[in-house]
Amino acid sequence: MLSLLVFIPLLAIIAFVVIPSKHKWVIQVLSLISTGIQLAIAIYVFSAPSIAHSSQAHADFFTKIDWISLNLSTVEAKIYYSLGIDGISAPLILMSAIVLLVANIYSLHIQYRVKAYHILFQVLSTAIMGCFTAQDLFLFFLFFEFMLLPLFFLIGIWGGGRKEYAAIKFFVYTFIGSVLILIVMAALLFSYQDAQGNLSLEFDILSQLKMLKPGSILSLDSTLQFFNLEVRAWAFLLLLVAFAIKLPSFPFHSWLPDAHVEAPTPISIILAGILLKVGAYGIIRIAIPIFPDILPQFADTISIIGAFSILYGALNALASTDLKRIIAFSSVSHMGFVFMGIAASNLQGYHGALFQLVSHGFLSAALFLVVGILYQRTSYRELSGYSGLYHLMPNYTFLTLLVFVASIGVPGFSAFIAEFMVITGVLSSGLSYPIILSLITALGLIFGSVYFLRTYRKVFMGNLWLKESTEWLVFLKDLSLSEKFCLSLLLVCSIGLGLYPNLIFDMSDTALQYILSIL
Amino acid sequence: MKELLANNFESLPYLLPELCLFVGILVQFAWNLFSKKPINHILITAITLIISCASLSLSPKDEAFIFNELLHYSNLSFTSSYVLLGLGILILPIYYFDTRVFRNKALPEILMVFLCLILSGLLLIKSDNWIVFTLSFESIALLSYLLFLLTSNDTKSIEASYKYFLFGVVCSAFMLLGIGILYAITGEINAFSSNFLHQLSMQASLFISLGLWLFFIGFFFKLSLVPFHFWAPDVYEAGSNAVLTTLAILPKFAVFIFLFRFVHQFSFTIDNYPLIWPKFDFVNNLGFILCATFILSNTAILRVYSFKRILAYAGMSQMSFMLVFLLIFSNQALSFGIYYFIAYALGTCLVFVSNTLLENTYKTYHIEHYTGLAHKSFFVGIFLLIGLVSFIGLPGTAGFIAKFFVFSEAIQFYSAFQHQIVLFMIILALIVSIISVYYYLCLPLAYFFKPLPQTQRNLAEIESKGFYIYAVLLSLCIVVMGLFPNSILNFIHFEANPNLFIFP
Repeated sequence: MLSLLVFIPLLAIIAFVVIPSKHKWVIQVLSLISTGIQLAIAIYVFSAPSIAHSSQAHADFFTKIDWISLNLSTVEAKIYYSLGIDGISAPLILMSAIVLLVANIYSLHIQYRVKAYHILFQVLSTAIMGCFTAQDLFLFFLFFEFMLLPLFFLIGIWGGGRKEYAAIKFFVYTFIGSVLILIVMAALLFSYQDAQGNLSLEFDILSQLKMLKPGSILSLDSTLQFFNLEVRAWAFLLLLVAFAIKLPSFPFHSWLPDAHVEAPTPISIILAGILLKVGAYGIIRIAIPIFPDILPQFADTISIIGAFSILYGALNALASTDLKRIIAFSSVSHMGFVFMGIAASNLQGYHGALFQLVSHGFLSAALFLVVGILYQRTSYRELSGYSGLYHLMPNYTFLTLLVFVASIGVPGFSAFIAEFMVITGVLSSGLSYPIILSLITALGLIFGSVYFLRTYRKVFMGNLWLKESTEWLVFLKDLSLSEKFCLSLLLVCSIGLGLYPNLIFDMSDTALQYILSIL
Repeated sequence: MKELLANNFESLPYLLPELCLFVGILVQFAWNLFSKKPINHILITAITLIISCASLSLSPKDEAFIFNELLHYSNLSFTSSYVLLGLGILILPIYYFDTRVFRNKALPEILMVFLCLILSGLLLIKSDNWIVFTLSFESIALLSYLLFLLTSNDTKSIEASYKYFLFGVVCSAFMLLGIGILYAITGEINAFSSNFLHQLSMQASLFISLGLWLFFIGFFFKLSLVPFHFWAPDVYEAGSNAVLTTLAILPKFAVFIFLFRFVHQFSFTIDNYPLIWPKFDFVNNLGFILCATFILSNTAILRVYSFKRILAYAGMSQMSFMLVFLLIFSNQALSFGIYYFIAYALGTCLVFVSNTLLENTYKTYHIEHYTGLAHKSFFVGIFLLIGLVSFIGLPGTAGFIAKFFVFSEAIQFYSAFQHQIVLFMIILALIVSIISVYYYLCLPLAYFFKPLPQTQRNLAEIESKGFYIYAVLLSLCIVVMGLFPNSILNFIHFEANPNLFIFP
């Protein structure tokens, strides 16, 4: 079932290759169908009752096939094609499928090189689903890097303005992260043995310290040190940095504003809605379970970086005047909560972090959609160009208000639950400065409401004024049906989760408990 | 005397592929008298290579010292002969696509030199004796100059060929001096006998270091490592694509295998972990050269704007990645090294053949000339990209698995021996991998993302069915090797110390 979820897009690609590129709408419809099937499978998987009892050690829908075996003279290294999901990945998969569908619907606006665009889009969705379902580090890494190249081209060909600069910057930054993971993976390959004595990179094996091969470079008794830090701590730090680049967290965030601003709207939606989550998912799924003994050493640092990201992102958003830039920095700010929740290392913190991932997935997608709708009509993103749009586009104004309010963290929407859980998690954790951290977080939230409401007031309220009034008056029509559908779908998800958060809490409880039990 | 002859005749079956090649060269020579049709000559070369590859499977499968211990026939030589001939077959189609070579009047001669190059490579892989080694090594060197010179048609390439020749001759002279010293202090003509090692161990470190360093210079030149790399960028810039692919792959492979055999005889396996001969610090000495190459090739490349020059520096960088395996005295290092080489060769072929077509049609040279060509020839760019991506080492390509092996082996070696230079090399390799993204992608960046300049709107599209078939095959090989490395690894798997290769 999961293989189908992952590889359906590849089937679509084969179909695309056969279809001549002049039949644009056939390709678009096929692409939509493929994403629709993915969503159907995701819903089916999500609704399976057994997910609630699954964890990293007992993944649901588990498949495992021998893939690569390396003969290393005395031992054999086995790498498996193994897929499975548990309470952590199931909500993320469903969220990704929904966001992919929204992005795909919005891709109908793209008319330039439709065939190539949809091929890359489908490769991307394979990689995303693969990342969330892989149960072997090698396989995870394969999918993780497979996202890079399609995104590089999607930004570089269909992007705007400084697209080449943004594409190469994005590629180089995320490739740094990939190389760091590669290094750690190379060290891990020789350090963990399964029950048969074969070297293995399966998540299940890697999360058990007793599976460590004695005398290997990452074993607990290894005396190797660099700069007074043991090898295991270095490995953890490398993984953390690698995923923090993807997340992105201060100080590794600088690719994000450029990539988000220059990418075409559907790709911005995927970038913010899904790809940032892969970074956080990597920390929860890989960095922490493999190095549970190291996390306490760095918990304070992680929490401080998280708090700083929240504040820094918010202040940057305040200072920006480009709509996409504001939202890109708000992503940095919101992802800081994930770092804080992880650092708290307790159940509330983890629940909050995971919930924030899902919630922000929907909301950031909605935010980029809001900007994209405006940009698509006028090709202008500066705040200063608009005023009083309410008079022209009432539906748009109303939905935007809901999205902004949800992102600020008003009760009743999903973001509120997530932020609340993270802050309670931090307050009840063993961190050194829980109160100061939560105060900084609160300050970040206040700034958040300031920049969202300021944007709203500037663009939508007041008298109607447009930078190029005569031309834009023609373009600025209210929402089309598909746009209404996309925005409402994302909002319904957010409100649904805000009113009934147990949907995710119940599902992920066992899986998060398992990770806590390792710590 | 009688015994000697008997041995020589008994040895002949072991040299079946070499004999086939020899016959093929003669046929080519004779055919040249009757017909000048270029396609026929390429076909003859192809048939020769295929027959000699097939004859390899007929040759005996036991380990033997043939021609009175002049050559050593083993599992390693058997497998690497296969690889070498296979690489030859792989490169040959580029001679067909490259008009600069294909329309050359000297094409039959060029192809003969090509076959001779493979022949000497096969001998070099097997050579056990200083004399055979020197002969085959020097003939590889001379044939390389000849191949380059035969295709030089402008001042730039003739200048480059002089540089190549003179520099090569000096390095060969140094190498001969090194061999002389090694021979003088050991009195042993066989480079792989236990007596050689025994005698060498009793000498003063100074002589050993001097002899080995001078000896290695020839290799460093051939593999274009710093500081013996000066020829590479100029030769790459001026050469024709087909010849460059040959020079970048065939001689390097033969030299690479011999270097592995030579260096790895200095390790002894004890408890799975090899003990390295203490008199000469291979890890630090060679590691120093590799680090220098890593640093220099990756800094010099950033200021270069000719695509072929970029490829020259990239080849140096790839070569230093490959040679990391040389310092890792583990049992699987050699098979991983060959794996890396095959990955490198496939990528090189794909990049060069795509570049051939672009050069033929658009006269591209500078990176700027590639601007916006995606609007004309989209798929050629895609194949170019696949080759470059394999160089970068993105997952799904052969280059990724190869790089993964480099890192995992190096880390494993470091945790066992804790040589600081290996750690330094790991860090360098990491930084280099990141920098390399920039220069490998600068061409696709221009090719795909930028609009086509107004002046070039009326350029033709590239349409060549043969090219597409060839490029698709190469890309498939790269992807299959990247997703299922076992397909190749099972074939190049060796047991135990490289010098004691036994048939499974």
